[in-house]
Amino acid sequence: MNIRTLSLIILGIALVLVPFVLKGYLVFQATTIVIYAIAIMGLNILTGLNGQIALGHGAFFAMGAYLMAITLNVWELPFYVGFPIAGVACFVFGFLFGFPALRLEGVYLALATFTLAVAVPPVLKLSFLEPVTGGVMGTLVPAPTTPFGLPLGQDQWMYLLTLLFLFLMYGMAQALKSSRSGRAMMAIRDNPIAARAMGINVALYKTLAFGLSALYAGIAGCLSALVIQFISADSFTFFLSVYLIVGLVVGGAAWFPGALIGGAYIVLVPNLVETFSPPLAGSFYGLLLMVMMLIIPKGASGLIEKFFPRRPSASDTSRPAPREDGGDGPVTIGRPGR
Amino acid sequence: MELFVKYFLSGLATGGIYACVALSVVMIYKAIGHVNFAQGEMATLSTYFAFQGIVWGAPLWLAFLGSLVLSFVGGYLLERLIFRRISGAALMTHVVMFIGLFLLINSSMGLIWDFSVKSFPSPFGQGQIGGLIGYHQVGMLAVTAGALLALSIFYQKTRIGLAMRGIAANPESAKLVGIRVTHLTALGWGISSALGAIAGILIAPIVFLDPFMMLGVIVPSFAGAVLGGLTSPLGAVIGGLTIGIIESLIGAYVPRVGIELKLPIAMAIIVCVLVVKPSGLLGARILKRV
Amino acid sequence: MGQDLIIDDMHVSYGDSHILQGISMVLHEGEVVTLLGPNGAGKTTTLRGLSGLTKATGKVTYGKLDLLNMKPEAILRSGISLVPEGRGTFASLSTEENLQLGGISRKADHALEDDMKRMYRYFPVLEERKKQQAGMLSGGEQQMLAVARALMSRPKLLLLDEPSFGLAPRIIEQLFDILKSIRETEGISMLIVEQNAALVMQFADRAYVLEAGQIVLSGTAKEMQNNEAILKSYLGS
Ligand SMILES: Nc1ncnc2c1ncn2[C@@H]1O[C@H](COP(=O)(O)OP(=O)(O)OP(=O)(O)O)[C@@H](O)[C@H]1O
Ligand SMILES: [Mg+2]
Repeated sequence: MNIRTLSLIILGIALVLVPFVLKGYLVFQATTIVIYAIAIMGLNILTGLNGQIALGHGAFFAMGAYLMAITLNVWELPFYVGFPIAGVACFVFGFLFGFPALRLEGVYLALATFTLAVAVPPVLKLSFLEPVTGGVMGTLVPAPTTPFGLPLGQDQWMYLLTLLFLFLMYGMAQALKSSRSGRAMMAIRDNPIAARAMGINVALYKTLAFGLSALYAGIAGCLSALVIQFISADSFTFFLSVYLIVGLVVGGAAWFPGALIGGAYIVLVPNLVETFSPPLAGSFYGLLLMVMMLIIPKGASGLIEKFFPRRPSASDTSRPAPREDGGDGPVTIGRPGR
Repeated sequence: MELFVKYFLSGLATGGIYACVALSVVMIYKAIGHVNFAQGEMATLSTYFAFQGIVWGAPLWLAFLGSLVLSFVGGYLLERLIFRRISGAALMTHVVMFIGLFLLINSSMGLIWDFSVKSFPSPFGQGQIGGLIGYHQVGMLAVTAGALLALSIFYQKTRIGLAMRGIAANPESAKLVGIRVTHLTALGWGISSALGAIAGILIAPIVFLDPFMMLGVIVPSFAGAVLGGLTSPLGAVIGGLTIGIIESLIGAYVPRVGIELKLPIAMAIIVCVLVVKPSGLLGARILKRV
Repeated sequence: MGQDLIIDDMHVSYGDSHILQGISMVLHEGEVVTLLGPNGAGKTTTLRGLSGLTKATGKVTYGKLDLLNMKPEAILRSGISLVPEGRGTFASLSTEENLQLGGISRKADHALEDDMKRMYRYFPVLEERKKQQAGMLSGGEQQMLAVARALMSRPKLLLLDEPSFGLAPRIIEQLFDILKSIRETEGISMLIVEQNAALVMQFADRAYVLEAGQIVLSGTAKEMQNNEAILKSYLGS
């Protein structure tokens, strides 16, 4: 067992202990962090593994949340049915949305998804969707009660449920990364033309990555609806999408555990900063993103790599292939190394 | 018929705004190969500059002129001081940088001027011409048309304009013939940002001023830019006008939901153009990269 | 002495690969010198280094100027103009605008307009194609345009990177005839990179041979032409 695995296990145990150590609002915050981490992990797959850039995953997050609400309120089904429904729906929708993106340079995908992010609240507020979305007013979501008579408080139970999903989806992401599909995705990221020449179905894997990342965002959305117990169009503004990107960058694009750092960052920093003044948090985020792009090349994963150096290998995702032209193939977040 | 003319004209007027913003997006895209996602926020900031001037008691024209100059200088410096440093970096770096700039400007505006909705004066006054079109809309049309015309003369007839087209056509050869590429790239940012200021100042009397003012404008403007092909200034203008008109007519003829559909339509147009003809109406052919 | 170009131990690296490994050359004012060598030897890299497009180290002086610390636009203003490999056409602009861009670093005055007319005299075909998009010109026409564009800045030293590349023999001859007459009438020095050694040797005063980033041979054109062995091993003709 190497030091990396060991630290992951210790981290996992620490995460399980959180709701028994912290109390009340802090547990709620921890839950929110884990929810964002799940969504960010989806972006890790899309951006880190596959090299695509999407700005609109708040839309899939919203879709997941609303589908959970509809499952409970409109169809009156138990909450655990909401996850597969939302997961499948987001996957399919993401898959379909990723499709046009295939033909295009990254800049167009960024553009299309930026629009998607901006258009979410207006779409959710559409009057003819009101019966299902609750329109401008939003809708309440009943929280699931603690099962099997476990001696857990509501907040502890929600935290552990969320954490369960984090573990599951982390496992899934790791499995993907070391699978054939994952290697295909990384090959596409590093050199799409060579990947095609090797017989990889580029179109399939790109849309697949897009669909999977949408699934992650959708599941996170489901959980958030259950935890907050209320959703409205204004919970899913453009800024949700942007904050996910912030989290992705802070945690490092291609390193899954970094998603937790990213999630913690986007939940905790505003709390710290907002005690002075709410908009300060936004300014701070913005400034931080820009400064990071100017000085730290790979986000937090770059920092961690410094302390846990790995032997570079062909499938090493956190080490982008060197390129002369600084084009948009591999994910070099930060300055070109010239 | 009268209804049609009325909405066509008002669509044309709004389309002029979209055209300005689309053009400012295209100018930067041509210069650096990236879409400036903060373009709308920059325009809003310019509008706040004018607003502040008015609050300080400056006459309207002076406030507007001051905002234009500040925006131009701001855009120029933004390139020289910040974006120069990442030139040639990967797409992701640029996207994150622009998103950072978006957040920074948006929140800072809230910090300085708070998030409340402010009314913004029209230099053209209230009133209608024959019940068809408002003075302000006529003014918008005239100003945007004037700005676009001036810009096209600048590009076609002046040596600096020629040099800037040279950079867009072949950056390396531009260096070889002695063009100061860095200076002119920054100049392009300045012009683009001033153009955004014009759009912001003209639209503010209609949609009112708040830090989110341009969110509703930037998406149709992107749609206009994409429709025009993203690399063609003329295409951006045509695209912007077209989107304005389509949007206005749908608002008029589709009962109830027409107005709500503004953003979804713009988004649908972007996606459709990208799927059916990514090079838009007039853009350079996009090489399939995959 | 005057405006001599003196290259002393020039190095260029791309990342880890050391492409130019310390080359030294001299080009006296008024001379035509050719730089020969196989593909990938570093000829283009040399010219790019001289014109400021690629970062080079070592020492290169032109007259009193230290070229390696100058930006491309400053180098151009000092009188050195490059006709780049692949012609570097401003494809979306018209032929006329390409020429105007060639003179963009100069004051807009009568002399500039006269030069424009002079270029049309050297290359009449360009005048016929004046309003056409330069990207639509034939390869030969684009090469002529590239030379004319470089001359528009009134250089004292012209760097040419494979001007004959991809042209039909008849066009190549035409091009070199024009270069000759330009040399005679304007007294411009030239550094010409060529694959077509036999042709350029008739025109050049001296030659250098570059191989794998090092100068392996130099001499007057006469000496080189008379040495069968050299021609065989280095020039492949
Ligand atoms: N931008 C670059 N990045 C990395 N290597 C480069 C770059 N440009 C050139 N090289 C390498 O430098 C070497 C010299 O290239 P250069 O273009 O100078 O050759 P050349 O002598 O002009 O060849 P040719 O006759 O084919 O034009 C080549 O091995 C080439 O692969
Ligand atoms: Mg060469």
